Amino acid sequence: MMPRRIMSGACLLLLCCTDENPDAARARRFPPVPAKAGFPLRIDLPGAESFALQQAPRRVLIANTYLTDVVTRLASPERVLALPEQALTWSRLALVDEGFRVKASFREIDAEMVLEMDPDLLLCSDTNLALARGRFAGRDIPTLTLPQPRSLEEIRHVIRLLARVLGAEEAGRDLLADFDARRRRLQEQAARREGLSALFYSNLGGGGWGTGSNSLPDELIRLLGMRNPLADAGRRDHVQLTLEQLITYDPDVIIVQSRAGESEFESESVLRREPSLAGLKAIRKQAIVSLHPRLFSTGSQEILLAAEEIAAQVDRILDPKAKGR
Amino acid sequence: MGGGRKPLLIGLLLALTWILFIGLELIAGSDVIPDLATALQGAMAGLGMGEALEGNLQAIMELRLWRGICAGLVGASLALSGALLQGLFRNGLAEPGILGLNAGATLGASLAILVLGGYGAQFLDDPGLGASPFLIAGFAFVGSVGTGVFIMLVASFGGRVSVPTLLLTGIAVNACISGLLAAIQSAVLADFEVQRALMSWTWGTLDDRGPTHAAMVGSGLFLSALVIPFVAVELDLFAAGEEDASALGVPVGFTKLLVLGAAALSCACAVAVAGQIAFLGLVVPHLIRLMVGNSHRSLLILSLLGGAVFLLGTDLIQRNFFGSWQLQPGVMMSLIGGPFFLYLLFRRRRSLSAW
Amino acid sequence: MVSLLQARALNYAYGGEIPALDRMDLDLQAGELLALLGPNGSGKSTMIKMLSGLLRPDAGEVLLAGKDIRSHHPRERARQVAVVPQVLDALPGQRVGDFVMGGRYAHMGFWRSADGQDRAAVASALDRADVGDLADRLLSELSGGQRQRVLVARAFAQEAEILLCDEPTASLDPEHQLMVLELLRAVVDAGMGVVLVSHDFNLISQFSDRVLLMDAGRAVAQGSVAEILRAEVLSQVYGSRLLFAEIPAEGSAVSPMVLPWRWSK
Repeated sequence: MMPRRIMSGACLLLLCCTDENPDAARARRFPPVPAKAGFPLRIDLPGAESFALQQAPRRVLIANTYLTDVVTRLASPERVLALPEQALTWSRLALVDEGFRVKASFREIDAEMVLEMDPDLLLCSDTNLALARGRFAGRDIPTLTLPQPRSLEEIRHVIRLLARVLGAEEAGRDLLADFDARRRRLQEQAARREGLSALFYSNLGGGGWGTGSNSLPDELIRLLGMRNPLADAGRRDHVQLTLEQLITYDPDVIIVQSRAGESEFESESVLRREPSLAGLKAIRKQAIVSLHPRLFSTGSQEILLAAEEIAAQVDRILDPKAKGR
Repeated sequence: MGGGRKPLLIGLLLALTWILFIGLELIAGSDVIPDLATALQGAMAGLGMGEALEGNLQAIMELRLWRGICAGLVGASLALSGALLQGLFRNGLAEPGILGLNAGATLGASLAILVLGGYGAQFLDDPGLGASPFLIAGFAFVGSVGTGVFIMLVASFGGRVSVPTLLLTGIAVNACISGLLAAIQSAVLADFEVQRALMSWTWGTLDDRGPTHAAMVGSGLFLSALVIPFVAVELDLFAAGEEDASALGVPVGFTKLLVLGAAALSCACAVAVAGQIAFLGLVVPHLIRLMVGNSHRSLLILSLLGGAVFLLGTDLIQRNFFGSWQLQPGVMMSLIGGPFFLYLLFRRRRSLSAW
Repeated sequence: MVSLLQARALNYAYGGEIPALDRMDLDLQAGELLALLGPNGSGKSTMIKMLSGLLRPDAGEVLLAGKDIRSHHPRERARQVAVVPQVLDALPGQRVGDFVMGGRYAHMGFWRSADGQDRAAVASALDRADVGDLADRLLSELSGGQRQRVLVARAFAQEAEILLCDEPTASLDPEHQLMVLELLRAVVDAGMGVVLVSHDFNLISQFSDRVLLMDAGRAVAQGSVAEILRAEVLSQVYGSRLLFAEIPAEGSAVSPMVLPWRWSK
């Protein structure tokens, strides 16, 4: 077993070297929030580029679903030129009906469409490389490229940044206050779940997946006062998880995605019917929390909806007396 | 024909290694490492003999047992399939992929995953199907065999399969299926869960296998191995060309059908159970040929045994040394098989240029 | 005389377009060495493939033991008809002994394993073709002439009554040319029927019983050696650049001799 130990040692070393503190990571991944509110506004982007706005943007083009979640809380519908079709089903627009009137949506977007719509602000994620540099046939369109947040702090950062960029200081403050309050409430109740272990699990029959540290799901588990055995085992991000590993970790709670109403088939039925899992604590105690994937596929403030839902389900399953609360 | 002691000895050695490796699979895992006696007790209990172990250890031992059994059977099936096709095409570069079997299986599995993921599940309203390990494997098998039969039908004329047409048809169909797969993947780009499930299939996996999987790949291998006595000498005679074989009394059309059928069946079952595992069907028959020469009676049987040992060995290496890296067998095999095959080509460039 | 193999009015065109055989008839008797003679492309090799049942004629039929040759099971057919091909499509990486054992395929049982009788037949065939000492060599190590004799040995191992030889002496030295032809003659005298495709007028002259002259897929003439190897007959097919002579044979008989000759202009 010697070589194996050396190997895991080497891996650990590698992980330590690549691990940076959260603040440094955020500074590297996201543009900084401008020190003062108001326009003209200028942000120095990584790579010696800069982003400037003379006045509050009135024609905003959103090319990403999680950004839709944030912008629709900060800006009025008439300021949003268009947003991705996906956002209609996968953003908060599908969860909360506030009568946000969507002007236009698109399935996919390219430079030509951007030029045609002529926005004064383009918001996109780092997965859309074609747009990310913000150069369109010699015309510079103010473009902010924001990666998918990996922590609640990064979500706060995005809210503060977008509030400033959209000139929506008050709405931003409200949203942040709301976000922090919900987060605090969850934290306050965390003690009652002390000592429980929970992990996110997904299996459509073709192989299992779980979520380790350095991810939003992991932070949610910790926010609710529970442990994530995958993170404890030193695994990061989304990783493949075999049945054998699942049995080894034997968590108290398994959180799965469920598409009730859309499909009969889901991770939960795999869990319940797999004979080798019958002895798991979570299976025996029926401690399977199922959430619609829409709830935690987002990287916006709405991820707290997932946390609240998990908290409610865990409390109901593990403490029948809590039902009345 | 051929024969001698050497193939027999190698065969015996491979068979023993096969058994030994399954034993090692039991005590080689990510975290739980029981002693051999406990492991064996768990394995026996898993097969319905003796007393079960305490708690979750029994479940873990059973998972490892079926993983080992499936790994061996899958490796054996793929290598046998490759050896059969190399003999039929008289070309050491032939492998099951050219029959479209891998691509077809992936297409079938992808469709099954889409169904599981809630896309078009309405027409399949038996909820029991969802949890069955047979759903994805079954779809993959149908896709694989369907594609293979389609390619063979297109490539045959007047009841005879034309080998060059078969190769070209295979290329065309593989290209079409790649397009379809890309279309499926881009269609579900937003759905992270389904996207991941599709990905893990294409990496090939031996994780989470159970008795149903073992039965599926086992019966495919068994039926395919049954043809060995009736095609081995015939394939030897094919070496000088189909016409020559026919003049010696080989029923050429029938033999081709047997060989193609057996190769397709064993490969389809293996791919249905374990996903894409590249190169094994190519490399193992090569290695065996280097050891025992061209006589197909030895070559086919030893490839079968060698494939089992090869995949089990790769899996053991992966689980012991790269466990935390999550390298799947398909990935491992490509990483080992690719360079190895290049090395073979490089070393034998002169003799290969004769092809 | 027993007729072993008959071809009736065979028509064949490659790919349905390029005509190769045109109303060809052929009748092979037991104890007869029938030579097929004709220029390149006259259809001789196609005829061999027809007679061995490898090709299906567009029209006409080939009868083996009174039955269409293609209705026999391949193994049953191969027990009666053996072929010595001109060349092999590919060279198997086999040893000579194993390769010649391939000739026994049609005689092997359900499990396709060689028994004592098969091994004896192979040993005898190797000796008769004078390649007994090569049994353990790889085919790829042999000279062209040795390979050709190995092909003859394999056909002998097949122990068929009918032997179809497509230029079996093309790459042999004179000594082995005679040796192979003498072997063929001996099996014919023992009752077999042999069809011999050859361009060698003089070997045909010495060894064959009957000659069938082909041109453009048709039988131009058919008859004894003396009837066919004559200037009037051959010039229809080969033109006039041939030299004819007569060599005294046993008793008062003579054998015709024909040589390609560059008449000075």
